[in-house]
Amino acid sequence: MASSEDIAQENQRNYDRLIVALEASLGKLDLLLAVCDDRNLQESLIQRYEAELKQEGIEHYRVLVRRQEPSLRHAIEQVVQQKNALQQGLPAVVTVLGVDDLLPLRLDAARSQLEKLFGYLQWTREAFRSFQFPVVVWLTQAVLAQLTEKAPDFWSWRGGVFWFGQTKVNFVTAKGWAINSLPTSAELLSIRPQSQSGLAINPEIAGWLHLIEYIQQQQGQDTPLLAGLYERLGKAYTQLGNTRQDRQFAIQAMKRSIVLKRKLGLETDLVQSLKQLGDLHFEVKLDSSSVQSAFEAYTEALEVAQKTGDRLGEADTLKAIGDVRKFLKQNQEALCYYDDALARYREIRERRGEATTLEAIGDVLQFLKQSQEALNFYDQALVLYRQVGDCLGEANTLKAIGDVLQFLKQSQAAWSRYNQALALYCQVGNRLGEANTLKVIGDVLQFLKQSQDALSRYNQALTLYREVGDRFGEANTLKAIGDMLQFLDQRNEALNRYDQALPLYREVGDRLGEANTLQVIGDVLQFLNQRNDALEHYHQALALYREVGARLGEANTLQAIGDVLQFLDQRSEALNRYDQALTLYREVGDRLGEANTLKAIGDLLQFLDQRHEALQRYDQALTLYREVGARLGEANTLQAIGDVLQFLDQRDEALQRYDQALSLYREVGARLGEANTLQAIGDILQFLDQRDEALQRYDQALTLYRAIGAHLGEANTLQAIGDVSQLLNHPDEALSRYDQALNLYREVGDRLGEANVLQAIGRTQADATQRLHHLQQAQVLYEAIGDRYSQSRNLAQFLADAQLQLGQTGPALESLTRAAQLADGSEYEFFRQDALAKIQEIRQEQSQLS
Amino acid sequence: MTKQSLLERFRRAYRDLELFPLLTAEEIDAFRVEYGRDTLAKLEQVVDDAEQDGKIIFAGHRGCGKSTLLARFAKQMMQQGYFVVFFSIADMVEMSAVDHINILYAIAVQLLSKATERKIPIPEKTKKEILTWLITSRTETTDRSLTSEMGMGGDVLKLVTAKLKTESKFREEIKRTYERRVSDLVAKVDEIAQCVRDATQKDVLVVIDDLDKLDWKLVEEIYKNNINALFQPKLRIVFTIPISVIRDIELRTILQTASGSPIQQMEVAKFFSKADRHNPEAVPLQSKVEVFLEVLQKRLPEDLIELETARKMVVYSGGVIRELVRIARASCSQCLLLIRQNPDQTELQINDEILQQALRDLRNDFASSLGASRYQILTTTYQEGKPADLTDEFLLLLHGLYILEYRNDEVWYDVHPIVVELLKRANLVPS
Repeated sequence: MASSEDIAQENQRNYDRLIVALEASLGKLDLLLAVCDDRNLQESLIQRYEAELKQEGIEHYRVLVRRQEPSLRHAIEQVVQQKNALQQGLPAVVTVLGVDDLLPLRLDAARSQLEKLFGYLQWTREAFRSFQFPVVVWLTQAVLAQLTEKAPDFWSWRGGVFWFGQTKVNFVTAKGWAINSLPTSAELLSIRPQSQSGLAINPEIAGWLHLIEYIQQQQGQDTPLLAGLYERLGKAYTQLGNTRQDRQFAIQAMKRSIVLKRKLGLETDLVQSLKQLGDLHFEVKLDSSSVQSAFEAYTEALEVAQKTGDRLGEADTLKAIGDVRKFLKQNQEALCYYDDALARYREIRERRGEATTLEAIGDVLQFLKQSQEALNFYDQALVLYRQVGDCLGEANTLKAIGDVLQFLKQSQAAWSRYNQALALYCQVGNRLGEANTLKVIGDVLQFLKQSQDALSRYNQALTLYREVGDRFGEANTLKAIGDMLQFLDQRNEALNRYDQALPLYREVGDRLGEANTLQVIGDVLQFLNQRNDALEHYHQALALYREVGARLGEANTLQAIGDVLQFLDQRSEALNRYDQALTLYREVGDRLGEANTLKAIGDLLQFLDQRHEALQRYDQALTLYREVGARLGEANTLQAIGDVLQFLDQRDEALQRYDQALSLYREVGARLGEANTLQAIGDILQFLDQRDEALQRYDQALTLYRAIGAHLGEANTLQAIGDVSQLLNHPDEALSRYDQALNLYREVGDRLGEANVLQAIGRTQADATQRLHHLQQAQVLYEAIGDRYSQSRNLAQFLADAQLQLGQTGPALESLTRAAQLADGSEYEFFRQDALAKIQEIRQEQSQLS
Repeated sequence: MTKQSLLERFRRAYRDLELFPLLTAEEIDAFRVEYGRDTLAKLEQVVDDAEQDGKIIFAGHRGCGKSTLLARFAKQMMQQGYFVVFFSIADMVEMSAVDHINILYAIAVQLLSKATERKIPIPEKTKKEILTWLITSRTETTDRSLTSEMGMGGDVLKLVTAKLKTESKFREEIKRTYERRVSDLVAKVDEIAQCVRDATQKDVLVVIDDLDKLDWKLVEEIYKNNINALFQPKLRIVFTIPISVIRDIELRTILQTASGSPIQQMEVAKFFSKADRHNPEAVPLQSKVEVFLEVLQKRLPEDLIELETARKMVVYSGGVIRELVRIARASCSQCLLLIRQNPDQTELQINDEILQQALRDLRNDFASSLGASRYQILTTTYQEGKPADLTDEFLLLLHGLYILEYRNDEVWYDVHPIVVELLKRANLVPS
C-alpha cells in the first residue's frame, strides 16, 4: 500500500502540473481533467488554486453541470453569459463540478444522466472556437474510466489528466504486489476467461477470476497475492453491484480474502476487509441475518484493530457497530459505541469521523425524543463539518436540526435550517439531499397552511426525485401533493397524484405507503360519492395493513369501510366493521379512534331506532373525548345525545346537552356546529311554545349560517323563522322568510326543502287561487322526489281543502282518493282515514244538496 | 536565455501544441505541414471517378489528421470546380442524437444555406417552398416561431440549425415528421442540388465530417439499418466513419456494396515495417519521421528540445499526429513544472529524462481503463500483429488508440508505443 507520504508527494506534483497547465493555457481552451475521489481533498485543492490564481490576477469561476440536461457546453455557456471577464477574454479559469453526481443513484435508472453527459461531451468545433480559457473538469476515477470509453473524442481532446489522493493502480502494481510474482505473458495467455453459462462476463471480473485461477495453479491456495486478488474481485463485484447476485459474489470474494488474510496473519489489511464485508452486509439490511453478519464482521474488525493498535480502524468499526445497534433500535448500546468511537476519533484528531459520530448520536437522541440534547450534538457536528469543509455533512446536519425544530413545532427556525441545508446541497450538487429538503420545506409550508408555496416546493422535489430516480421519494412527494390538493378541495387532481404514487410504492415494495395511498384514494372517492370504488380501495388497503401488521391503519380503514357501508344502507355490515375497528383501536390504545368509532356506532344505532343503545355508546365516546381533550368530538357527541333525548321527548335534558355542546362549539370556534345547535335549541323552544326565545336562537343561527355561507342551514332556519312568524300571526313576515328560503333551496338544489317551503307559502296565502297554485307546485315536487308521506299529507290536508274552497269538488275528490291510496298500508294510516272521512263528508253534502 | 523568456517560451510552445484540428486560415498557415498528400490525391481521384450521385466512405484513426485533411480537400475540390458543401455533423446535431433522418435533414439545410450564402440564384418561390416544407412539422407546435421568423426575414437557417443542435424536442419533431417520408426529404435534397447545378453548372459535393466521432454502436445502427436512405440523394457525398467500424465485416460489406467503391482510408504513418516493428535495432523510416519532425518544429522551437529526444518523441507517437502533439505538450508541461520548482534556472531543453516523465503521465491516462482481459488483448496484438478475435473489446481499444492499425500490402495492428511501456512494466512482453 502506498504510504501517505507518497500520496502527498504525488498530490503536490499533480497540483503543480495543473497550475502550470492553467497558466500556460490562459486565453485558450484547454480541457484539463482532475481526478479525485475525495470531496474534501477536491475542495481544498480548488480553493488552493483559486487563491493562487487570484494572486496572479486570474479570475476563477465554478460551474455545476445541470442534472436535468447535463451538457458541459451549456454549463460553460451559462457562465460565459454571466461573467464579463470571460466575454472580454480576460485571464480566467473555469472549474466544472457535479459530474460525479451524474452517476446513477439507483441502478435501474433508465438512461443515466452520466450517459447523457457522455453524449453531450462529443463537442462541436464551434464550441472549441467560442471558449477561450482553460477548463478544469473534476471527476472520480469511476467516471474517468467510463469517459475514456464512452466519450473517446472528448478524451482525445484532453489537455492533461491530474490525479489526486490515490496512487494510480492498475492490476499489475496494485497493493504493491511484486511485479515479478505475476505470470509471464505467455503463461497468462494460455488461460482464457470463460463464462460457463455462456453469458458475457464483465471483462474486469473475468480478468480477476482467471488471474486467481492461474495463481492458484501456480502458487497454491494460500498466498498473500491471492488474498489481495480476492479483495480486488470483491471490490469489482461491489462496483458492479447490479444485482443481488453480484452483491452475494462480492461478499463471497471478500470472505475468501478475509479467510486467507486471517490464515496468513495479514492483520493490518484484515481490519479494512472486515469493515468492508460488514458494510456489504449492512447496506442491504434485507433481513436480520444480514444485519447480524454485518455485526459479526465489525466485531471481529474491532478486535483485530484493538490488537494491532489500528486506532482509526478501531474508531471506524466502533462507529459502524453503533450504526448497527442504532438500526436495531438498541439505542443505549448504540450510544455507548458512539461514545467510544468519539473518544478514539478525538484522540487521533480525525475530525470528520468525530463529526459523523456526533451526528449519529444526535439521531439517536432525537429518536429518544431528547430533542434538546440532540440539537446540542448536531450543533457540535456542524462546527466540525464546517471546519473540515465537508459541505455534505454540514447539509445533512442542518437538515437533521431542521427536523428536530419542526418536531418541536418551531417551524420558522426549522425553515431557516432547511433553507441553509438546501443551499449547501445545491452547492455540492447533491440532488437527493436537495429533493429531501425541498420535500420537508414543503411539509413545513403545508403545516403553516401556505399551500401554494408548499405545492411549488413539492413540485421541485418531485422533479429532482425523478431525475435521481428515487422512486420512494417521488411516491412520498406525490402523496404529499395529493394530500395538499385534497385540502384545497381539488379532489380530482389529488386522485391523479395518488394514482401516480401507487405504482411507485408498489415498485419499491413499500406496502405501508401503498396501503396509506389506497386509503386516501378511498377517502377521496367516498367524498366524490363513488362509494363502491372507495370500498374497493379500502379493502385493498385493509389487506395490506394486515399484511404488514399496521393495526392502526387497519382500524382506520375498517372505520372508513363502516362509514361507506352505513351510507349504502348496509347497516349490520357497517356495525360489524365498526366493532372490529373498535377492538383494534383499544388494542393499540388509540383512544381518539376508539371514541370516533363509538360515536359512529351510536349514530348507526340511533338510525336503527335503538336509541337507548345509541345513548350508551355516545356516553362512552363522550368520556373518551373528554379524556383525550378532543372538544370538537365532545361537542358533536353532546349534540347527538341532545338529538336522541329530543326524540325521546326528554326536552329539558336535551336542552341541557345542547347548551353544553353550544359552549364547546364556541370554545373551539366551530361555527357550523354552533349554528346547528342553536337551530336545534330553537326547535325545542318553538315546540315548548317559547316562540320569542326560539326566534332569538334562530336569528343567531341565521347570522352564523350566513357568515360561513352554509346555504342549506340558512334556508332551514329561514323556514323555521317563517313557521314561527306564521304562528305569531305575522303572515307578511312569514312569506318574506319563506321566499328567501325558497331561493336558497333552489340554489342548493334541495327539492324536498323547496317543496316544503312551497307548501308553507301556499298555506300562508289568503287568496285561495294563490294557495292552490303553490300547493300544486309543491305536489309536483313531492311526486318527483317520490315522497309518499308528503304527497299524501299535502293532498289530504291542504290541497283538497283549497280545491273545495274554489268549488272544485270533483278534483278535490280525486285528490282525496289519491291521498288515501298513497297512505294505504303505510305507517301514516291516519292520512288515509282523514282522506276517507273527508270524502264521505263531501258525498254527504252532495247528497244533501241534491 | 533569461528566466522570463524561458518560462514564456515554454508557455508559448504549450499553447501552440494545440490538440484541436487546424481550421482557421491563420492556424493552417502557421502550423500546417504537407501531410497525407497521397491520401488527398487518392480521395480526389475517387470523387472525380465517381458517378454524379456517387458515395465515398472515408475512414481513419482518431487524431491522425482527418479533419485537417478534409478541410483542405474541400478547398481543393472547390478550386477544381465543384460546388462543395463541407460541414461537421457535430455543428448540426448533438452527437448523441444523430440519426439518418437528421443527417439527411442537415444535408438539406446546409445545401440551402450554402447556396444562399454564395448567392446562387435559386428562384425565391422554390426557396420559400423548400423552407416552408422543412419547417412544417406534423404537430405544428415548433414551427410557429419559425414561420413568423421567416415572415420577418430572419435567418431561418441559423435558427433551424440552433434548434436542431440544442432542442431535443425539435429533433424529435423532425424525426416523427420525416420518419415515414424519407423519400420526400431526399427529393427535397435533390431538388435543391438540381437548382444549384442549374444555376452554377457545377457538380455538387457534400462532405460530412465528424460522423466518425459517434459512438460506434450508433454508427452501426445508422449505417447498417439505414444505408439505403442515406445513399439515396442524387449527389456526391463523402461520409466519414470510424476506423473500428470497417473492421466489422458485416458493416464493411454493407458500406462497400452500397457505395460501389472501396473505403478510402487515411493511414497512420508507419515508421517501421511489420517485420521490424519490435526490433530495437531497426531504424525508423526517415521520410515519415521528417514530416513529423516538421510538425513538431512548427510549434516547438528547435532549441527547446534535443534532436535525439525529438526523434524518440516522434516514434512514441505511433504515427498519429495528435499523439505527437500530446507528448510534446506534456513535455512542455514537465518543463514548466521544473521552472516552477526552480525559478532560477536559465537553461532547459526537453531531454530524454523529461520525455520519460511526460510519458509516465500519459501512460497513467491509458492505464486508468485497462483491466486484466484488456491487457491480454493488447499482449496478443503486440505479439501477433493482430488480435485473437475481432471482439468488441478489441474494437474499443482500436477506437481508443490503445491499438493502431497500419497497412501496406496487408493490414496489421500494433499497440500504441506508450501502451507498450505498460505491457513491458507488467512483464507481459519482454522489455
